[in-house]
Amino acid sequence: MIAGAFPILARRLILIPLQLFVILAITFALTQAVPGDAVRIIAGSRAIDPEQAELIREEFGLNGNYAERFGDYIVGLVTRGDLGPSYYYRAPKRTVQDLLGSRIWVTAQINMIVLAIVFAVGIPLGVFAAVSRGTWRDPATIGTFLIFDSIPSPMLIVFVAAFFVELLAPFFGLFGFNVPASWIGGDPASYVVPVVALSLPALAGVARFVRVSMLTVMDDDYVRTARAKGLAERRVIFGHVFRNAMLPLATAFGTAFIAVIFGSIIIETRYGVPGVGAFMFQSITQRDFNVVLGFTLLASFLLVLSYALIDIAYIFIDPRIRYTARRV
Amino acid sequence: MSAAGAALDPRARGESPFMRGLRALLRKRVARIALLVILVFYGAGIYTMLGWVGVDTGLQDPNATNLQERRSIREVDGRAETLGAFASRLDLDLDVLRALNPDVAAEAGEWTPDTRLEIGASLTLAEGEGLQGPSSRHWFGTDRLGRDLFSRALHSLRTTVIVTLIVVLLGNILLGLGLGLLAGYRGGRIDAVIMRLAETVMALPDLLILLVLVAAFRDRWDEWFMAIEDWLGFPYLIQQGVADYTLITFGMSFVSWGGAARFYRGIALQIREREFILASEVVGARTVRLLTRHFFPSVLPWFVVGTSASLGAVAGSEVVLTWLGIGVRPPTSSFGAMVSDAGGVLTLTLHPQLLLVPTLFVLALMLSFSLLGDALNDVVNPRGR
Repeated sequence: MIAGAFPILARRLILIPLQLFVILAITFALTQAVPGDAVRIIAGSRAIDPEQAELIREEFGLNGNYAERFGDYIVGLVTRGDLGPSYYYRAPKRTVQDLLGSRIWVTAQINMIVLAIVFAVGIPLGVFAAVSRGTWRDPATIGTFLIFDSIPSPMLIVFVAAFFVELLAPFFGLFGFNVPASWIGGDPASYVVPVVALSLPALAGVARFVRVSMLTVMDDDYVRTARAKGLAERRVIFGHVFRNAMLPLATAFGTAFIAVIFGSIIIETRYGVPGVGAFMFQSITQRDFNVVLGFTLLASFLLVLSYALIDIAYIFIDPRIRYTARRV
Repeated sequence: MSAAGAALDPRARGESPFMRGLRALLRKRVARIALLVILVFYGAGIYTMLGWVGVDTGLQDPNATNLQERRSIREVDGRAETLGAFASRLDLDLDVLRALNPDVAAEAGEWTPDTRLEIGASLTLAEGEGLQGPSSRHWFGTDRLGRDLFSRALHSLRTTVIVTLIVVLLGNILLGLGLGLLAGYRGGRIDAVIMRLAETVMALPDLLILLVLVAAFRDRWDEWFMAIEDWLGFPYLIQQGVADYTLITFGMSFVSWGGAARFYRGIALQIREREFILASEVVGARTVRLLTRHFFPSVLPWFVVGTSASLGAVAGSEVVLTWLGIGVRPPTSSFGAMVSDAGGVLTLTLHPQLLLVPTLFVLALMLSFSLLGDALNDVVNPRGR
């Protein structure tokens, strides 16, 4: 353990709830600013008299001003882990944590597979491109994945789906395996299109990051020394360059993670995946703001946590970095 | 990223660092091609704006629908109306009608004003141009409503140009660069406040905040613009998409300036210690003058790199936002709207132009920004090539 790391760690970790609080406060204020009375949203198309409106207000905790309501929300969240009731799913009454919980597993599965693929494939690709610097293989590798990164995901997923559903269908058919054109519950082949569509753009990011990182290290003096003392190129690359080039990869992980979370909203909506991303978008159109708040909290928590872990990882990975009390 | 790098040292040749950088950039073939694509696309987008000032651009109206039109023979006095009555009711020429309905004409045998077809028989009045492939009249074909895809693509580029430029001006230059340099130069309390704000903004989940922001403000924003329209006596602001452009660009600027501010602050911290800053401080230069005349030229290379990278990202975000239904709304053209019109796998196989046209445009533009950004980075920061 590096001397003096603990206070820095504590300081960094204390920041997490503070940041989450600010994000929640901003989102809460925004949802409150949406025109239209929440009671109207809850009541739907039913005509209601003032008495019923009062009952709804009471039931959903809509009395009081912004500060009071936000206070209630935070208290409920901290003391009971309660994210509040859904405005839309009222009969039977469902809570937000219940609704999100039933959908989070499929999203988590897809995202974990995607992240595993992105790093398992992206790192070797980046190393390959860096090692073949100066040949056509470097721009060809990076350029190919740059193309996937340059197509916005609503377009990319249609091409990916067409590739698997139309072009590869006869081939898959030999193995009794059919990739559907949209999500079919319980069919493992349904994972193929969303996973590939999410992986392709993220791959470009990681591969480019690794490539640049490798190239930066390759020019260092100690690499020249390693070559000069007659080490095999393979050992120079993997023993010296690769290990040091992997240091900044923590940042790339954070970036890829965030890209995948936001990509999920689009890919899930487009492919009909019953996950939290599609549910979040649906809830915005349904003005089900407790769900929106709950999802924002979940996504921001992961985001802020990954930023913090990156910062902390740096303290341990790279002994040259010293976080002092004065932030530079 | 240490000092400005040898390529930017103005003493090396009697040339400004900017010209030297540009020259180094244009020596790269990839950069030349990327720059050309970007300039052509932006030029095309700006060209369509000439329509606003009354110049005839020669482009077809991107919103002019051209659908096949059919009407049925009515019942009059217990029997089918005559073709003459049908034609005069709809103000049509009988010969044109015959040419448009050869099958019906052949079946009916004769084709005079007194001919009676069956009640309810359906006749084509106008051919329509929906879902055509590429032709000399429609270079990229047409969509479901018979709108010209070439014209729509160019008008979508207009949206891209407007949105990217405003977000870069507002988010990158005014908020990101301005606040970043101010924080780095002044330090102390100003620095602390700006940087805490920037960190909060960076931690915001962009897409979610934009979704909620648009849901919260769209109606109100439209009301404000209606009030402005009344006040100006100029009723085209909302129709031409000005309300949408401003709402989403303000939103995107608001969520995107944090990273830029942090980046420029870091550079400003380095520049602050250099002698020429001290020299101008000694002669009493004000903060604004220092920032614009001394700090800005020093960060210019990084600014160009950063801007090139974010232009592509902003263009992509606009497409996604519009596709999700929270960006620009019809009748304003956008690649996002074209994609959401394009449908799925089946449509792609039947009418590939619907998806291919917007995809190729966006791909070419974003790829060019990426490649140009890489090339610029090599020029500005030669190490790590």
